[in-house]
Amino acid sequence: MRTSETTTRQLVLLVDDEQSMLKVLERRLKSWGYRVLLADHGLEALRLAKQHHPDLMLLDVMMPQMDGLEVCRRLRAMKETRGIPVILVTVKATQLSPEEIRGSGALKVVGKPYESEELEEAVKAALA
Amino acid sequence: MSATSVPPAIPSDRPAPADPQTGRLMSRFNVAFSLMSAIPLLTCCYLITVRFFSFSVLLGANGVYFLLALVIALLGLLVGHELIRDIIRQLVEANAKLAKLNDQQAGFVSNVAHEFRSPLAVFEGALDNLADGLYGPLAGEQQDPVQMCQREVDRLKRLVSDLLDLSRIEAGKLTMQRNRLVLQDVLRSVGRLFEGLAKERGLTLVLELPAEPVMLVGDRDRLQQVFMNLLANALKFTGDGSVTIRLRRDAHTAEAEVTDTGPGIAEADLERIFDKFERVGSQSEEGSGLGLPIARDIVELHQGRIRVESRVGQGSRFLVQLPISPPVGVAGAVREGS
Repeated sequence: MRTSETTTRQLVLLVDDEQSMLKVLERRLKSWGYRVLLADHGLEALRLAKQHHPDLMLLDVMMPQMDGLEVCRRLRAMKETRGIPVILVTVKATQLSPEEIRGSGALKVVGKPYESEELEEAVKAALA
Repeated sequence: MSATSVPPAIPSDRPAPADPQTGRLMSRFNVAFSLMSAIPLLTCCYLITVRFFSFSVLLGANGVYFLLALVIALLGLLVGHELIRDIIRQLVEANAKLAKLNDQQAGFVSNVAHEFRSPLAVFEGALDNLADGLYGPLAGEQQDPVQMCQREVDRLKRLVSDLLDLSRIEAGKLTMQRNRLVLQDVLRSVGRLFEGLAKERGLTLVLELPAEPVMLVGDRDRLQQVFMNLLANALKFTGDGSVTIRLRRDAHTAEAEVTDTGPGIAEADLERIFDKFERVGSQSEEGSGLGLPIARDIVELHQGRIRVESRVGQGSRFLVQLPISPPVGVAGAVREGS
């Protein structure tokens, strides 16, 4: 589905505390031709973000220990990760206040369970 | 028998009222009680000492009896006052407990609904991946069960978000946006959403909308949800014929109706059709039983009214009345209700 230049394929970091969700998302994003990194908690996400500097992060909000909004705050606080675009994928999409969304610096919030089309649109718009 | 109307300011042996509402209740009780006790007592004294006899009757032993009776009456009043205060306190406490329980229940429903969403997201994601052939192409017969599961997951998703809506509405946490909107736009977009389903079911979907825009202030998405629920019901229960969305207005009110040529609703059911979890008619139809209560709550949050007219065998008519916004350009008047 994708042409030869595998090295230039964009890298997406997926963050969710549920392994099965990560697997499902991984398969979906790979089918769109992206390279994928997985993190199942906030600190791991920050470490991978710093190390690999992904082109986009799909970030769960409700996670134990460090929630997605806190991950966003820390991303914005570090120079090398500040510019990474983030899409929040969360069961609480309708409950995040406009201030919380603005404060997180996220490009978009996608409700979970997500519609594949909506996610595709959001991801492609972010990586265009 | 003090008729204090500003209870919080007076430090006394009385426990401070828990909230302003309880305080107001107590001071109203005090006033009422004072009126009920002081006025009859003074009237009696007046009648005995001035009208019927004279002060002279109180000389000697009679005066002692009179005073004794007065003291007993006053004591009785005091005891009665304390008893009633105690009863009011208990009622207030019971009421607070119920309110808390209600909050807890709403919180519980909301938590459970959220807990459902995470596994549902995995179900839906995995099923979509499967259906889209991401794990290899599906052979003919394999598609059926996948599609079946997708439909059921959709249904669960709708139920969960209906439950969340309802728990938020009941906790008073659902806030309506205040968009200036044209009702025709809302109805048209709902119509478009259901065009496919209507065709699939062999029904005619008719929109009768006035040319002049009917403007009002409200929550676009939520109003759309109201008409989606009404239209979904109409299409679901109508075997053949048509479903019509009609809009008209008078000076202050817009009235939108969704009319179908379905089986109609029995008179006994009309009463409870807007109640939670009530489903009338054939129980084989899918649905959470929450669509109409949510629609009603949203309409009422817009200071509107919703009602139904129906007779068995003659179809149903759901009418939604919404207050029309004041003319454009009247700043500040947007807040005006009905």
